[in-house]
Amino acid sequence: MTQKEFNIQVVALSSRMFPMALRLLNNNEDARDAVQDVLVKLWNQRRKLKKHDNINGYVFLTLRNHCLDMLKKLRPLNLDHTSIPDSGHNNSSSSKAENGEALSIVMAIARKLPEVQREVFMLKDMDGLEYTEIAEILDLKESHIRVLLSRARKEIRAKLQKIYDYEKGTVA
Amino acid sequence: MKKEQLLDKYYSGEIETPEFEILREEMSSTPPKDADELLFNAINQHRHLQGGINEQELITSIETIQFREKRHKRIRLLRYAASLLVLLTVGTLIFNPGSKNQLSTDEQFDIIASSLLQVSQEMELPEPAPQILYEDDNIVIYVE
Repeated sequence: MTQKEFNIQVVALSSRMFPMALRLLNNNEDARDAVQDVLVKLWNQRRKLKKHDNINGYVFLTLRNHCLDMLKKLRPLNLDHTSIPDSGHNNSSSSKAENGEALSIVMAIARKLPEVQREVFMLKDMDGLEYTEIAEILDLKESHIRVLLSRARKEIRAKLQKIYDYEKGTVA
Repeated sequence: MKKEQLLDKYYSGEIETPEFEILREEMSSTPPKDADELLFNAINQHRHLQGGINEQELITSIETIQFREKRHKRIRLLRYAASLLVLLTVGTLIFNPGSKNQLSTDEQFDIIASSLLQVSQEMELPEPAPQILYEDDNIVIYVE
């Protein structure tokens, strides 16, 4: 793989890689470092990478594994490998959402989902990965991913609706 | 496609990326008016977390690494070439193929001696037969 090909196929993914790294590491600097480290690692593996049939999936898988390794080093005694940024806004309310904290509310709800559902939802809706990329990362079939995603979205929506109704005073 | 249809597809897991992007645009009103918009509001907030990732900076860092790699490769090659040259020189000095045909001083002396002996033997004149003057059982008288 030439540098030009690498830039087009891999470095171009950096803007999509960052939110995922940030979600996992919950730290801007660490996320930036992780993206850069993974790109360097992938550059060193460029011969192997070229032969891969799902380059994007492999890139995100490498990033995820790298972030999990970083988390292990940072928090060896308190590892949650599907870490979701805890911004301390578990007291969800639509008023907070209106102040631009919808993300915290959804993250708090997502944290309570079953692990695979949560991971699929995060990778697809939050990180914006494609089904094929998620399939590579989680080693699941696309049809299974769609089912898990549907359940996660419906669950989150139901909980959001409760919060919304409560805040609007429609629920006693 | 209407927003409601797209939302149905979204919740049933059937929505594809281009439709999802359309829906994301349509649901991006602030403040959110319902639970659906609240969800998409969160998604949009997360998607906008670019954190100052600069693609050009990353490309530059990769280029720097590539340049270093090339330089290291060149230095390594030069080291190998220099090592090979030293080995060849030392090898030539120690195991000079010409020296195998050269004889030691003793061997050379032996060869020269034997050659000289051979030459001298060949150059030696045959002894002339003595002229016998008188001969009996007890005495032989001859002149050379």
